[in-house]
Amino acid sequence: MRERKRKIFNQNYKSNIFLGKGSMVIASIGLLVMLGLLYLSQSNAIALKGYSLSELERQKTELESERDRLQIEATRLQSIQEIQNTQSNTDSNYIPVKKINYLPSTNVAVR
Amino acid sequence: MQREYHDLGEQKGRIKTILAFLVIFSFVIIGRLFYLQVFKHQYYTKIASVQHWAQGDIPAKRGEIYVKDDMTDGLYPLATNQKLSLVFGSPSEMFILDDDENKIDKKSEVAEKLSTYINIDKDKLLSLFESNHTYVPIKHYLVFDDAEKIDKLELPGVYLTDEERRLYPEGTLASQLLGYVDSEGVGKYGLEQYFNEELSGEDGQYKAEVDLSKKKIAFGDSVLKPSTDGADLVLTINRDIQSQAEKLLKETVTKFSAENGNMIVMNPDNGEIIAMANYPTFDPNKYKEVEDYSLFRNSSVSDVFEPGSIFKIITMAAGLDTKKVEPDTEYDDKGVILLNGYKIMNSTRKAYGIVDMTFVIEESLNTGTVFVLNKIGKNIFYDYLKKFGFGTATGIEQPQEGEGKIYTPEEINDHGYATMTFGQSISTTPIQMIRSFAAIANGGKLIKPHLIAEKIFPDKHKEITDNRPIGEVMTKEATVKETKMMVSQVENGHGKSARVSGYKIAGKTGTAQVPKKDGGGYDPKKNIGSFIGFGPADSPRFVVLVKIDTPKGIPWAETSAAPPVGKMLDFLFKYYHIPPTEIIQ
Repeated sequence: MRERKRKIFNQNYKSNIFLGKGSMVIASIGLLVMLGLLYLSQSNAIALKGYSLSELERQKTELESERDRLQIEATRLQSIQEIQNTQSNTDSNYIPVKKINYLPSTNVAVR
Repeated sequence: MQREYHDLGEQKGRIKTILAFLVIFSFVIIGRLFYLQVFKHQYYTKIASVQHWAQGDIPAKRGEIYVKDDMTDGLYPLATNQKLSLVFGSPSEMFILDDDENKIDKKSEVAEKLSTYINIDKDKLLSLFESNHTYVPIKHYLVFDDAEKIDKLELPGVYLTDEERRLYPEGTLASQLLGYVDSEGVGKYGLEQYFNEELSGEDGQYKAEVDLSKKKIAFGDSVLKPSTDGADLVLTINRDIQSQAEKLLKETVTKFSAENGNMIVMNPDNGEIIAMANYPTFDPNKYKEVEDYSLFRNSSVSDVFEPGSIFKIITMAAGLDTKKVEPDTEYDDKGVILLNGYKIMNSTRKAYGIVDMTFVIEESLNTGTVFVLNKIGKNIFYDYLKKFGFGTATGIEQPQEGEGKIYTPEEINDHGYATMTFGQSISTTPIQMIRSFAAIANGGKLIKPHLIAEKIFPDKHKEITDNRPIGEVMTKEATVKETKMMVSQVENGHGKSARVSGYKIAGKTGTAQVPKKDGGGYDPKKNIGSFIGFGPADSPRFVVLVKIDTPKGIPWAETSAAPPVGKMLDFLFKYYHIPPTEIIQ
């Protein structure tokens, strides 16, 4: 019974798949088309990535410019001239130091 | 049949003719191809390269110059880089097309709209656009907000591009010490010139494959030589003290209608320059507006002058160190000494009789320093001048440093040499003078004055300046004696106006005559007032020099130069919380 089944299977197999010259040509063309499509899709994906990358680079440059601008602004606001101007133009409570009182040094331990 | 034969012959002839044409045509094509590919190879390779490749320099970032905040240890830039925008125009593109593809000129409209944003007259802009130039720079250094506004206008033929400018956020502060960077990116004067190579770094280069829109192809070929940024400099200058020095100096120069002035504050132990101010000064952000180029010079370092009586401290140092004189050594001051047929007199034209060396310093007697010279001899005096570093540049990090001039005993006669003891017939620079006083303040060590605390390289490694002494000038014992004599000058002599309540200050005044420009003696209408002081005298933390050139109506330095030294020392003691050393009366 088992021997018979195997025979039928072999017969079916041999009759269904036959690789002749035409089949090889069709298979090769199919493979080439598939490879071509794959290449196209990958190239397209890379090109898209390239544009995304350019966009990100542009954003990075813009953010760096903004950072530099803010740094310069922070530096300007900390300049002595700016502090003095702010002090004179606003009702700030800055008072120049006129006298400093120092505690006398002592050998007695302070509890 | 016959006809067919003829037809065949004709046909063959035609075929041959066509073949001949084909052969000739092929040769023409091959010839043309040969011409294009072989003879014009380089030309077309270049064109293709321009289309496929983008290339250019990657500019290196110029190193920044910082000062350290002593209170927070943070760094604050005195010189930094600012990215700004250049707006430029292409007049031939200043048009729009109507529905029939006809060009409508928009130059006038562009000029009108731009003028409101960049503060340039419309007619001036229009005449610029009417010129035949293909490219016209319209305005440099536009700030971000203004550039953005112009960009949003979308004016035809108007473009924006990035440009970088050196920015000095503190304006005139320490300007002569910093110098400036010109439009070519080259450092001029000051630290910008001295360290130009290290600050500039090295530009890189790139070459990358680009697409039709000139955008870099993400995974295309590229060649990259990265740029190396310049090193950052951290100065020994304290911004607050520098500001105070400039304020005091300006007040003094203005008050006495002087030509100019210098103030230096130095740490005597290690040679760190805490402040170095000159007046008048300039704003390096607007260096193009300066008409008098001498303002660019750091005169504290480059200008030589006859020091006058402050130099008596050097003569006395030689006498004390060789033990030829002591503070209480006495001599008979007759008020005049005759040498080589010339008289040497005291500045007051008076004779003081029997006086000691402390009195010589207190009252600044010229005859007293000539007495010291007679005791030590000219050769030893010359050796001490060399030991103190006179006649040689100190090596401070500034270009065009002056060396000054001292004479060997063989070069000038006895009279000339005697005048050197009180600061005539000799020239020096303010930086040399303050260094010599620092040697007395620190116990006899010669230090190298410097402005750089450290350099920070792009790879973050630091190079810290070696601030150890470079030589021994005199013994500590001699410096202690001389310091006491200098304290006496401030307490009892001409330096009273440099006193600071609660602190002992050591110092010496000097009122130097100014040689005439034609070389015929001294100008009676001019003098240079100077004062160098240090304190607290027992343990000096700061040496301060003030030099005021040609103050009007002021005959002596005790009125012009000594007061700002006292005020500066008072400020320094408060700033650094140095407690008083004396009981305040």
